[in-house]
Amino acid sequence: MDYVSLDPDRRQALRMMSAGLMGAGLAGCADLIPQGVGLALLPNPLTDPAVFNFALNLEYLEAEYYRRGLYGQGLPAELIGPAPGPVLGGRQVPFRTPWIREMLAEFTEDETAHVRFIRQTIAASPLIEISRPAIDLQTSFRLLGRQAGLGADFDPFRDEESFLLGAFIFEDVGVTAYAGGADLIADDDSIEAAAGILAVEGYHAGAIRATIAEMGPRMVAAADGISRARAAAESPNNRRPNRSSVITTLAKEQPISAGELFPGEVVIAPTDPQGRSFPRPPQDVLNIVYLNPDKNARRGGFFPQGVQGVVRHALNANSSRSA
Amino acid sequence: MERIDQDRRALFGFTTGEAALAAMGAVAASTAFPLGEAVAQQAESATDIDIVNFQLNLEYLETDYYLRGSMGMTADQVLGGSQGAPVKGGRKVRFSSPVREGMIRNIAGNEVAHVRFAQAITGARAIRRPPIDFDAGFAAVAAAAGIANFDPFASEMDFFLGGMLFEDVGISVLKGSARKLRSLSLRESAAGLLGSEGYHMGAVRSVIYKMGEPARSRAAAISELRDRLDGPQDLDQPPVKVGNMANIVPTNENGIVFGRTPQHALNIAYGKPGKGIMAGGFFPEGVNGRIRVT
Repeated sequence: MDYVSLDPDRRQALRMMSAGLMGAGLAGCADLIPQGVGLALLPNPLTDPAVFNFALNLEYLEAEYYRRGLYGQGLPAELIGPAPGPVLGGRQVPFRTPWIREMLAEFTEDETAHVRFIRQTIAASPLIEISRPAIDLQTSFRLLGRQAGLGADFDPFRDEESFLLGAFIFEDVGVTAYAGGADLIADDDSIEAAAGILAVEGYHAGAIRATIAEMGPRMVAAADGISRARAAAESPNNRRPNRSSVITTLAKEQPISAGELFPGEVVIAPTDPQGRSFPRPPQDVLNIVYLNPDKNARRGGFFPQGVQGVVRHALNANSSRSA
Repeated sequence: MERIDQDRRALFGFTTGEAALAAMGAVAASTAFPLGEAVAQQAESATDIDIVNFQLNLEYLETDYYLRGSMGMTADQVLGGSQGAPVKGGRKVRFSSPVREGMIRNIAGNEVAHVRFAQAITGARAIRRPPIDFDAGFAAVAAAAGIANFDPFASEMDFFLGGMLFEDVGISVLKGSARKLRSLSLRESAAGLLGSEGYHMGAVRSVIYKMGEPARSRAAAISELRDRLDGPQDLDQPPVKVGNMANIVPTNENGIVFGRTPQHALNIAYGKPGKGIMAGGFFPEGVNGRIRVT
């Protein structure tokens, strides 16, 4: 479709119409087809922006987390859309170690750039880029703190160690979400962009793991608790036997202390036996960020009103295909 | 050894010009029969195999690098049986802590898995390991980049730098190849490989950054060398401080990693810029497979 010759308002109206039609079609199907049957969301150029919108939810979460921790304020108004949800919690972290602050400031800029880039990518399509969903950076971490054994008062903004653990929660999930989206994307430019963002999330997550590992056994134990909590929130169908026998039922997780091949391994890269980072279907990603293993969960945890996007229900149903 | 010899014959019997003509022929064939599904599929699957085989060369290099450095073992010992041509150089590194050694062992384990996986995908068409020379490769890098006493197996710092030298490049090639893969399941696997290599480099580059000087300056020299070798575009960034920020992740203004072609990667591995380079640096007789010339 070519909107170049249309005036902006008409173009916007057309985009909203087609996005609405597409959303009604896909979401409608999802309601009709029971989960487990597996709605085929076949990759095509029209569904690509819907997949990007799903990813945009996670980028908003990461960007708001990092920006509040580093600068004490969130994303600028031009990046959060016309109907942004509120953000609860988050404040500037009292960093003690300059190199750690400098590294996390870089990650903050990367995540902000991802929000900007994905919004622009979707804006160039028939779909509307979502506004920032409502985000909870306070009660969510307390709930996760209980689930992960970090204590019910877990506050990632308290100090740099806590902030690294908070980053650890998101970055691993970001990698798996992009890996799980790789076969949902059709357009060549889109697949290359998604691959490029996936790699960046990988760099971030590897750096965070290495930094935590060098901080000693207590930090590693805390991160391993988070890995176990994430595993508990995702589909039981994804569970695999784990050769280490340290932790027997982890699905798409490999805790820092759970090396599987050589003695003394420090797991800076969680992978399957083929050495690939795990792909997570959207449903599993949602269960983790909702902090709720219920497959019918529609909101909760970091997204108190759920993620945004017209095909989130269709993506939910589709997830059974990749499981 | 028979398969290597075949590869070598193919290598030396196949000039750059012929390779270019063959490539043009393949493109012409696929455009001449736009509706010929069978023809197109054959061409496409061959392309996927070529891409995976190219990546396998880099995985062989990385596997022996990390295995020798962290375990004092060779890929042939771990994988059981000869994987191809000999590997020269490399020995166990003395790490400053069990955690740093454990990180590198984790990477080594992943690389072993990548070799097995790429071999499984390509099956009977899997390339054998080409001859690899760490001694000559690193000596060339040290001279070209002007890094004094650069010896990755003699110092923990240089070992992390050597890992960065290879693996940032592997990531950019995987990123650049993403659009070329036709198989959807292969795209998902390539994404998984990209993810894991990203993890490796995030860990390695953050440690280099944490080390401060002279690690950062040496990393900058390596980045500068890669940029000189791989053509006019700026596709590289070192883990140094920029303004008030680190630069752990080499990215463009959109927060996306750079893409490289296999030819860019060969320029870096062979240690020579420009077109028509067939061997050198870490691969004294060139890489194996159909993608082997810059």
